[in-house]
Amino acid sequence: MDEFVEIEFEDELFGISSVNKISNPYLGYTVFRLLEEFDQRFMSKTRFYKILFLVYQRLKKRGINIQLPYFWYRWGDVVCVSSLPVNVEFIKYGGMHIPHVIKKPENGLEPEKKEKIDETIKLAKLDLEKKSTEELIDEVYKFAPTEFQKEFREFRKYLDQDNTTNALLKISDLFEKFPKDEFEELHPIFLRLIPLLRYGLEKRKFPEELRELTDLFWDIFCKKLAILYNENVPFDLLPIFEGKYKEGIIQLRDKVREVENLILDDFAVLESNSESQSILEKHLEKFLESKGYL
Amino acid sequence: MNLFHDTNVLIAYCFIQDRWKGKAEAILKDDFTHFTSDKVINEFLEKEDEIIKDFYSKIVNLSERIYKSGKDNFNVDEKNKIIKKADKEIRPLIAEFLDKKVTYPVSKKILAESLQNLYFEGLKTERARYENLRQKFKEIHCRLKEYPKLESQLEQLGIHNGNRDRGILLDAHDLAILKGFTLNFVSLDDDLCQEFRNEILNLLELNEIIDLRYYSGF
Repeated sequence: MDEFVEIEFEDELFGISSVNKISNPYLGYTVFRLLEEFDQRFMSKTRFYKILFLVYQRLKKRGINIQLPYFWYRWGDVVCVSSLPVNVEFIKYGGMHIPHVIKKPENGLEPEKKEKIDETIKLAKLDLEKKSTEELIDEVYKFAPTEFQKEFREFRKYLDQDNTTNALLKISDLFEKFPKDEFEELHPIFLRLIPLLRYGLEKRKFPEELRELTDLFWDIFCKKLAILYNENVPFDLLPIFEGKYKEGIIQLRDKVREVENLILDDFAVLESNSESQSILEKHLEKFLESKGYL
Repeated sequence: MNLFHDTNVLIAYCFIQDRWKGKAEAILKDDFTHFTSDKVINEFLEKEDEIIKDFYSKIVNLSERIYKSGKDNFNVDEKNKIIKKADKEIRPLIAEFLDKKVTYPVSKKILAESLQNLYFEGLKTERARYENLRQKFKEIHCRLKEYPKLESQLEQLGIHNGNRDRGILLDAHDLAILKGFTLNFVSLDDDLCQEFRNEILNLLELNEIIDLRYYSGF
């Protein structure tokens, strides 16, 4: 069973935040019951995060808010395990990290709520346990806070499958759905990315470079996503992610320039000193003068 | 002749060389020895990003809007609709481009692609000129020494942009002292070339400040 790298700096993130716990007793009970109910052979860190998130959403619909602390990232939600009221240990087994709770949460919970949690977990086991990790991520993505991330995930799938036709069709959706107000700093770089993707896909060139570039873009996008979209996290995510987001933007700008140069080397200007270039420069000059560049 | 080039000279050379026929190209000719500084290069790269963002990317924006439009073809009487889809800053460019470079009726794919090609062509020309320019510089000076007194005098003159204008002038001053040669500063900036020219020349080890806009050869 595959496991995804949920977050690259998990130790750093959860190490500094382990003192802040959510005190909701139903959260502890849900985690314990979920791990008790689900077959451990089908559990991994990624699956645990996704299933717990889906159970949290289902419980909310039934009027129970267990206050799951999580933030959005690349593969959907990342649960702040260090902030859970029960200690979850991950036991390494065959390349996977299997979550495990040693101590059963104390009693004193309302029986009616406990019953609803038990029922929800049993139902979740029936329809979620046999799903692949990708399918679980698909389920979580139904709750994605921005349309763009759904489109981008699709786009990346097409790119990985070398499905050029569908990837090209997706570009327009990416362009349309980019949340430019929330990701203001990233928007200009995103606009430079679009023609590179179109060119590379249309010419069927530079597939590795495009994958690396979009991977880096996604990585940076998710850092801001975590800052913007999270719930119940009992510590400040901003100082953890903001610096990495800003550094990432500089790194991404360099990478865009690198791929731009590759594509520009490949791009053949049809006529030298062309009329188009002359038209462009005439209007660019006016723009540069009006904006004080000259 | 030794020349130290300000950021705006690099911008004129790389972005609108054809429109500045003779000027930026003539002053950057190989008979002269050319210098600049790390601050100029960094500022140029920042400005390049801004120009791409505020001008070039708007062409991409329009190209994508056309890809996304419901229509398959555009007729000549729909030019105004296309122009209206463009951001304000590039509307005159698009109007001229649609008049001179597009044959109607045009399919949305061809129109969107030709706009994308315009974007790449502009960028490619600019990058090629930048590479050419980098090779012309004998040295990109990195100043280690600080000149707090001179900096404060420049500030008092009214040269407010500390990290940029003052820093770049001091880079040129430092280079002239270190090399012990006569150095001319080339710029398009009104303040530096006209308003504060005499005061700057009195303060710094610069031989002359050349205004590229009025340059007609030595």
